[in-house]
Amino acid sequence: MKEMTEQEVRNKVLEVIVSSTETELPVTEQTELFGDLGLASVEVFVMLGELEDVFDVEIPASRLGCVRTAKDLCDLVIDLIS
Amino acid sequence: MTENIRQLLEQIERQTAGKCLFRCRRNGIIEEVSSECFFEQIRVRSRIFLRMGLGGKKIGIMGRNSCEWMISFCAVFWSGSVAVLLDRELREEELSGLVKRVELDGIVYDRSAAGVVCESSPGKELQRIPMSVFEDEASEEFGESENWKAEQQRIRNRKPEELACIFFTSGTTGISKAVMMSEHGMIAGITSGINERNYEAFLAVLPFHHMAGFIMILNTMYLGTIICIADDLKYFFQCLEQMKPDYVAVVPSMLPMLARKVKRGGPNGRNLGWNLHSIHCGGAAFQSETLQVFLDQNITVLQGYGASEAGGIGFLWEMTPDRPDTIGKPPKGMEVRITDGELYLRSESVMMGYYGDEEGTQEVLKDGWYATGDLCRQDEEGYLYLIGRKKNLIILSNGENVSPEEIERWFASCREIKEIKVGTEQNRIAAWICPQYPENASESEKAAVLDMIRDTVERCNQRVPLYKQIQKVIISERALEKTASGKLIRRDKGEGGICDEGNDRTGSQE
Repeated sequence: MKEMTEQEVRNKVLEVIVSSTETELPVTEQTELFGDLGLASVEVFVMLGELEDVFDVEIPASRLGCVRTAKDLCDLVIDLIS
Repeated sequence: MTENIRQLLEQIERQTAGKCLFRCRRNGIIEEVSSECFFEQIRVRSRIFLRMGLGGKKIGIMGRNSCEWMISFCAVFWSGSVAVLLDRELREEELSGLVKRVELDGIVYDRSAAGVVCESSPGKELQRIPMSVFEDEASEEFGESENWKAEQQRIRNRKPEELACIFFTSGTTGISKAVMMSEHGMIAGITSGINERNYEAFLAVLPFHHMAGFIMILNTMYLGTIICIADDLKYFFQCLEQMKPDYVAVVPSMLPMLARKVKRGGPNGRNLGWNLHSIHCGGAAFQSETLQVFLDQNITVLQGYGASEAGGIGFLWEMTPDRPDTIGKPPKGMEVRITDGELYLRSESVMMGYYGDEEGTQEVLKDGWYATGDLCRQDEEGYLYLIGRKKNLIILSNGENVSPEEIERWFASCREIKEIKVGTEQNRIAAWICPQYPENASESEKAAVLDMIRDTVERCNQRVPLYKQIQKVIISERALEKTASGKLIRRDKGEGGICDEGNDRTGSQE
């Protein structure tokens, strides 16, 4: 996968959230995964698998404890990629 | 007649000779494990257990779902020992408590549980056996000494009524109950034929340390179906594509995401590379709004209902649009009765009782009848419908049970909290908290107390799995409602009922 800028990574994470959840709500970094999108924790776990495929990086489920918003997920992916 | 699990495993070994037993996904690669390989590794591990003096003793198993977990599990029975199943998400102090409570002699664990196992302090001699140690053990020639032969004879002669397995389930008081299953009860659950449909491969994602998890695996082995094991739940969709199971067991919280994929996936998900024909859904109330999506793609949905204490013989009913909320009719081998609105079950797989808790056992077990705590009604055609819980347990849509009292106890030493009551609001775990303000507190002092309360909640949440976290805090300036005897009033509507997972960390005041 070609090198992505930080903003490109963030945009891609948001894209995965939208495609994975098929939500019609606008998804921004401020979107709360559980509150606004009403996701179950298992849905976010499985989304990690999809993010791993997209970014070719391993994302431990143990890091989900602090994830509440789309921004938290973006930050997590960026942290692991770098 | 098969009298113990060792004999049953030997029967399964004969029945599955020459066949593939497992498909495992490891680092993205699918590996197959033959019956010969599986049973040989069982024998190797059993020899190790017996050499360590653990024959006939209680051996804990703690780790991720894996082929190694299953081998260790079966090896315990092969050794004539008692399997004690431990949640790998236990904290050190919880593990230490359980080790003492059930008098565990040894524990087999994988890398994911290594930290907790090594840090725990059970206060007694406990043999800790990392699963990695088995990788170094070759299949050796083992001389058959007289002692060895006598030991094997003892194992094969274990009686049906002897204790075989202990696993834990949430109690209504928040203290987990140690459910005891006999050799006979386990065999009845495994061989009940509850799933006699002809499947080629079954994808196991339910945690193996739960009754439903391990019973489905053993039942699948008994029926000669291949077991597909996901190395991690996050690879669920990849497993459906790569291992192509035609049957999968899920919990209700997984249905929406599965339905989204299936809707565009073509018949049986074939456009996604899947081969899905049936879904088993259990552990909590079925979400019937997704049923038609699966039926439209030629996928049958079977709802499972049972209680851990009732063992492996449980309800399994094919869902149809005309009755989307029934648990169906009782299966072969199960008797049911409804007394004072509560559902009672009796079968050969009902537990022996709770370990070290005679009083708790007598509360739920009488003459072989198990009181489920579920309120139930039956229609004129004999279909059963669950209508609520007798006690306070919150049942999450991922099948996990959460006791409000357990969560309330986390805050027992928090001085800023005068009273707390945990329940559900809008299908999320919520806490009603009455703060303890200092006398004549100013507005800023009150605000500081509320900040500390929210910090405490967040800190407690960080220490537990996501499904147990408090998702909404409601501050109550008034004292919480109580009965005349001082017990918190927990309303049925929105509290102690079925809860959809979700997280909404907004606090609100009432």
